[in-house]
Amino acid sequence: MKNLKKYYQSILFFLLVLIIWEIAVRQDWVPFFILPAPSMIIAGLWKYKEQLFTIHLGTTLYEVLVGLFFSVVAAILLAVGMFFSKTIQRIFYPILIVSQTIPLIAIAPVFALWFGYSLWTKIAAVILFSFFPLLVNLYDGLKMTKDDLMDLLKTMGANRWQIFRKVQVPMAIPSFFSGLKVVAVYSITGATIGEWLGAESGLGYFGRRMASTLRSDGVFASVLLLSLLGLILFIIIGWFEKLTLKNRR
Amino acid sequence: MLVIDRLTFRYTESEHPIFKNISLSLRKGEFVSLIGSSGSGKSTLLKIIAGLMEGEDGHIYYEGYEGNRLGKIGYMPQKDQLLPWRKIIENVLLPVEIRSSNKEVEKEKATALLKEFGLSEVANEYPSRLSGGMRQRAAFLRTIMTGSDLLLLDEPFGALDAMRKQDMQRWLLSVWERLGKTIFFITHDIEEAILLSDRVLVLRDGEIEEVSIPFSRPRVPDMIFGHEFIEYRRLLSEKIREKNHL
Ligand SMILES: Nc1ncnc2c1ncn2[C@@H]1O[C@H](COP(=O)(O)OP(=O)(O)O)[C@@H](O)[C@H]1O
Ligand SMILES: [Mg+2]
Repeated sequence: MKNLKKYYQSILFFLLVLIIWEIAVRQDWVPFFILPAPSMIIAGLWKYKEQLFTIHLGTTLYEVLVGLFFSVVAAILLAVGMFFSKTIQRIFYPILIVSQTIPLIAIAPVFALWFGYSLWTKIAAVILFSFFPLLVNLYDGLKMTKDDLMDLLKTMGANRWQIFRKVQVPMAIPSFFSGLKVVAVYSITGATIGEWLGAESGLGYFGRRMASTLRSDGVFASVLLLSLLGLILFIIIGWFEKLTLKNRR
Repeated sequence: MLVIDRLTFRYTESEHPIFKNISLSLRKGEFVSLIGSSGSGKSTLLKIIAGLMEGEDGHIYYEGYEGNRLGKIGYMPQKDQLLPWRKIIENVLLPVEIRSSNKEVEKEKATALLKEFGLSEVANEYPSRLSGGMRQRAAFLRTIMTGSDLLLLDEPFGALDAMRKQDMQRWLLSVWERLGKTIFFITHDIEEAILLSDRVLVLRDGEIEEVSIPFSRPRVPDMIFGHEFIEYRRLLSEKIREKNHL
């Protein structure tokens, strides 16, 4: 209820846009094969529901989840490695910085070259987009513990491993979740791009196939589904975050 | 219990030393306060005693031995540093986990002390739900659970308002009298130092001067209005400021 109050202006505006959009298409101010009306998109969703929900949604979701899994595992390993070893830190930190400044999407075709039409092209693309933000957030989170708190633990006789487990890891969790939330959306971008490069199923693949035959309702239906997928993933992670951090201030 | 012998310390080579050849000793069961203006080095001295830093010169003996003191002395930092993701009971048991002693026995002890400290009801709450005074008591209890006989307290009541502070002072004295610990207490509040301590150490310009407080115990809050008490206040405030006047 409170949320409704906070967002109602935005929701109203959105509805207004939808209505104008609908009218504009129905009045033929805009040709429907360029921009289908909202009602046509919903109808498209219904028309292609078999393929969309039984094949393509599943494929994309699978790519995203597997890619995210590998990204999280790799980010944890490397963040902890960098945190404990100056050498690992010196090797990877510059790469990390550089990775933030190059257009990652330019690398994606390499995966098509290596993995062809297999699932690994898409999973690699997901990892490409989600690994670095996760790593940066985790590493920063681990470094966040203040000296004062470390001092307190040391006076209790804690060794490095105890300080890590009892303070630095819990301290990094909020930052880890921020990274995960960002990456929820990035990972879908990655999967979509991966599918454009070469695929036999998936929402990105479906959208492109529809575009090549000028079936705009199908294109927009897949766009809508991809957006919803990102949103739902974001909400689920946010929900886990709240659950985990509910007792902290 | 603790002897510091001609300690000299500075943070960086070039800097003016924070302590110049200071010596002091704490006897078992004593309540000793350290006062000094802010920035005089009170917190620094506590960290050195706790074993977090080494002096560049001089010796420190704890229970007769010179060497690593980490894990042997109870240290309560200036901010309470309660971990927000742990319940109060879990925060209090942190030192027990660290030294991995018998958790069941220690938990019983902690539960009894939580009760004594008026914290039973919040034992399973998270720190964010507690008032400032309660947080301080919890942090103090965590310090006690280190099992050390010497407790170093860094301005524990600095952030409390006058009323809560009085309550906490009375409470601290009663706890100290019962537990028989040695307390080394930092404050910048002269009145507090006189009210609580057997001796007051004044830290100024890297040197320490000692004043004994002969008032009998148990002490009552009203004594701060007494003639003698006011004399000690005057004496100590002069000692804190002495140099600045010249
Ligand atoms: N980690 C540090 N590195 C360098 N200088 C420090 C550090 N901590 C404190 N100091 C300096 O040492 C002096 C004493 O600090 P501190 O012990 O915190 O004083 P107090 O607790 O009496 O207010 C201050 O001038 C402060 O700026
Ligand atoms: Mg201080």
